[in-house]
Amino acid sequence: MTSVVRIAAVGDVHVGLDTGPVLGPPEQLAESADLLLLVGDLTRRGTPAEAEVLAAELRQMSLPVIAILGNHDYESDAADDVRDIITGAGATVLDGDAATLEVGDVSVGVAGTPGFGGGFQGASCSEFGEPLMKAFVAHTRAMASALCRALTELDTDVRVAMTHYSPIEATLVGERLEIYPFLGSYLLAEAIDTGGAHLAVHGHAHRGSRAGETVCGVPVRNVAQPLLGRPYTTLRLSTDGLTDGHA
Amino acid sequence: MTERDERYLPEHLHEALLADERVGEQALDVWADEHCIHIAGSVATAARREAIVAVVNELAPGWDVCNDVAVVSVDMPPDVEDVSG
Repeated sequence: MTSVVRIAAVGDVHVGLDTGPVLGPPEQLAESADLLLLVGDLTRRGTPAEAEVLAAELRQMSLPVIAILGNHDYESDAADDVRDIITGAGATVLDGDAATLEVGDVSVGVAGTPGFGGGFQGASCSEFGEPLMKAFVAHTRAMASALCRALTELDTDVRVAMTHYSPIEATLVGERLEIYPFLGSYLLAEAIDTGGAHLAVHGHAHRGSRAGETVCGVPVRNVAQPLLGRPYTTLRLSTDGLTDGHA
Repeated sequence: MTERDERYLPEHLHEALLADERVGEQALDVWADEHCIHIAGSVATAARREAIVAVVNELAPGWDVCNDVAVVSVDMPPDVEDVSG
């Protein structure tokens, strides 16, 4: 039997004390989607007060909300507080782990990590040289490894990967080429492919492009709100033809 | 302290706009010509867009500001895409 999972997704809402609601009417969201993914940069500067603004909006939501943090959410060294506040509003905040839920008769698994930079095939940073350079790449590698492990451990009909940084170059087109290494890493795509995801969503690249795919053909969508120009996008994923996909 | 070379001013402003609590936006382009400081990109609110001019005026007095920054619009209705293979 074929079923369709409707996934609302958005990132980079950059909520501050000066913003109003960023997700549109709660009833509209509940009618149009089965779950909502928030792919990082929930806040402008990562302060607890900003997180409280978003939390107040999330408390109005009646559908499951799964989030990850983005680089802005780390800016004030209060990421744990931001995470706790968003969790307190009923959302699940992933950090290298996964959540599962049932949508009708379909089991859905979502694995998430902020990810990090490093660049893409043919132009990526290496774990070599200065300790800071090694740490930079090692951080991305650790996040990608956690994402891969979380995906692999999912025993669900549908598997979705969410990152803040991009796993591929195609959804960065529109950004300046020089900053690609700071916008994502191929290590995330490798994790998505190896972990057998059916869909990947990310943000961070406000001026990028909306659609691409990994080398193994996993659809990747950039859902940064400045790029969408709308509160969120809804991605419909049919279970028809989905494979187990684990490498 | 030696006065900072104005030829590096756009990058200094880029960093300042990210660090300033009134703006806090990374995805801004900043460049200068002989007439003014140009800023382009997008921010989430009109207040942040206005704050850009204030920050530049504070750090680069005497320069005109060409503020081409857009306020992100989320007015379009949510769209739907079928991502099934």
